[in-house]
Amino acid sequence: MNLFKFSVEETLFFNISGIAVFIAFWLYAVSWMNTKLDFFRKSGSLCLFVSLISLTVALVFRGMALNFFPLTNLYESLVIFAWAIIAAYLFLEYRFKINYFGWFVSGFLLIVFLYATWLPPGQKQIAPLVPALQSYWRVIHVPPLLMSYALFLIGAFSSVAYLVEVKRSRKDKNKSVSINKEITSGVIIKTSSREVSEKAQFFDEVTFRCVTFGFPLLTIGVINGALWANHAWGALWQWDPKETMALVTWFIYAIYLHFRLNSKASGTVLALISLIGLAMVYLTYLGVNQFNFGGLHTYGKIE
Amino acid sequence: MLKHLKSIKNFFVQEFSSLRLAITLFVFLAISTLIGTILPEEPMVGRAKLLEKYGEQNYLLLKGLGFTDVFHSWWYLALLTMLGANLITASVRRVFPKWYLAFSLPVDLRAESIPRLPVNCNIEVNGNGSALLGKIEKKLKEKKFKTVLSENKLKAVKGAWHRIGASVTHVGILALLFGCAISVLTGFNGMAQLSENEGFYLADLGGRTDQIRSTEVDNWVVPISKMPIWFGRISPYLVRVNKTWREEYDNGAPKQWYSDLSVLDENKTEIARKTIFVNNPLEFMGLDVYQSNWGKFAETTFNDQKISLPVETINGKDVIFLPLSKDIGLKFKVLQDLIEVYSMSPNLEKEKLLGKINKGDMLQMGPINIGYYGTVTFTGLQFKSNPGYFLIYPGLFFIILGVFIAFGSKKQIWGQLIPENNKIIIGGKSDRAKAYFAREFEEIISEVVNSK
Repeated sequence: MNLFKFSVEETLFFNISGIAVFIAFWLYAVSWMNTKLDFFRKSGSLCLFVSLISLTVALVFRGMALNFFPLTNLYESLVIFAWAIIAAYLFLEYRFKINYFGWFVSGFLLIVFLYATWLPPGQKQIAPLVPALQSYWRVIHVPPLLMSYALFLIGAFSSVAYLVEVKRSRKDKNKSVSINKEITSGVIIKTSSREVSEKAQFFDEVTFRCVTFGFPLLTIGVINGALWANHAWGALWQWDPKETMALVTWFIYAIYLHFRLNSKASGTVLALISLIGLAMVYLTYLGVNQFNFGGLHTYGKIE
Repeated sequence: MLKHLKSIKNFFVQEFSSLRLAITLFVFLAISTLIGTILPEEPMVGRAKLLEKYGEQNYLLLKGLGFTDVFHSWWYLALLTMLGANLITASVRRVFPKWYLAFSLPVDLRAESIPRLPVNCNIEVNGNGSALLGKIEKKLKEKKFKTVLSENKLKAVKGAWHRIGASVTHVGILALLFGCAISVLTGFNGMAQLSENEGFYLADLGGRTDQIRSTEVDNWVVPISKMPIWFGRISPYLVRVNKTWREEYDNGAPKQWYSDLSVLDENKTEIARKTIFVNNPLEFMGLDVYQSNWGKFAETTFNDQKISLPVETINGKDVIFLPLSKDIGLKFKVLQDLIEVYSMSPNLEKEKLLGKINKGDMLQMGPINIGYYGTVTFTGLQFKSNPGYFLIYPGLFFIILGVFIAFGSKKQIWGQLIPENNKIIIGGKSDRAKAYFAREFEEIISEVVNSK
């Protein structure tokens, strides 16, 4: 059996990925302390990109060993979660220039990697699938959810940054700021915002972006889960703890989006909602099994 | 009096369509769903476990308050109903009327309103003002804005179609809620356990929950459990199991269970046939049949009493365990046409062979005689009628579609040439991504200004 051979290669690429994240962490940290060192930040991003590629390769090897998409236990789910975080972060950094969070994101990734490595062997080994999990639905139910969790995580980092920024610039009680920017002589662009500073407005918007990306994915994941449950168990919804926790998370981010419709909504409250949302994501993803709420989604449980 | 009623009605419509109510309900639903997740629920863990956990007095108190089954408690249903009412009134009053905004141009703004926009600027005109305004229009068109330029006034809009996202999502949620209500109130479901070459009819057997033999050979009548509002239509089909089998992994763990099913009409003609397995049900004329479990049983007798014992597969071998106390018991190895009986006890290093029983034979062991009559396989089928489906599936589709459409922002720009001061005032706003829009606006203006 060549299962063992694949495992070695998988481990190799998994380790490359972890080391790349570790290097990225320090590069980002240095560039964070001195914003002039843009080269370090760029190298950090490059390292994260390398990590993403080698993690993809590791997943391909594992998928080949399993003969199907490697998403069958907590270890594989964590690896794909890490993949989603890196992919989401790199995309957001490229698209919206969120350079501030590289440090937090790669630091968090290290925790995910370590957690995945320290899992008991029962949760890591390549094991056959029980009948209920053998379905193409598995592939369209779980990845959108992991991607949404990754986005909510980055959104929460941004919320923390927002709260810090607001706290720091509390000195001026006047809440709205207007920024005047001269682009050429005589042409001044006036931007007014209700946030305390340009940075705060930026952080607020990064969170919002993450939630607007993540919410549709969460919705799709939950709905696909319901459709799958209908195919496998004959019921769309069974009030299983994982289902209800996902519903709580959905409610929290629905609150976020509806609260934002209100033009007088305070950014601080929005940031706090996003943090509560992340706590719910944690409970949904890991807490349900860790705190033994029971139910049908016990596949990722540590015995 | 009539006026009074009208004002009460207006008050309710006003309150029920408010965004504040929606947020409040979301908060309460989130909290109560969380409580329901953390507390053990009676339908999941059973009454006995809750009694053990809380003690009888506390159990009754919690049950009275609905905490033993949060998701079916009156207050949780009330919250969901309120959310439904809020969703309907808000959709009709606020969300759907905004539909036209998705396709309309921005409203006219007076010159003095433009400097009050979140992003705005003044451009000094050194030459032909209208030409510059035209240039801005051209740039906006390049950036895929829809523009109107008339008499020194410029209006532009982009991404307005994102506004229909909310309408689409709300339509989806409404369809889903109605579909679920129809299914929950008017459907039926149930279970059947059959072996090969057996079939079942559905019947309303009142309070009975066990399946009974029908008058025909090898067919069963299976009771359905009805939902509260019952329209009383049971399909007259006979569902037959032609064959049922299982696939195993090398270590003997179940890989998949299969049942080859036929649906027969009253004249016993086959109208549908499908091999179902877990995750792949038979869906036929409003009736869904699912593979839910599978089992092999040995037909045995103990002192002439018939007993079916479940056969387990361990390391690829079929065995039956019959524990007599905590650690002592009997083990049967099921072989071709015979079973071997072993004793199990922790003191014995090896299990001890007590005897063999051929199929159709008996074994006398002291006061007990054990008979063996071969094995049968049962397939566990679940069935369900789901009348709300015609709404549930489109509802789910619209929710997904809606949240995707809503992703994005509506950006509007207004510009005006003021010939007296020889300047152009221009400004804009975006409903969602505000900082991003400010940057985009800056880019457009600097590109125009720097190219002149």
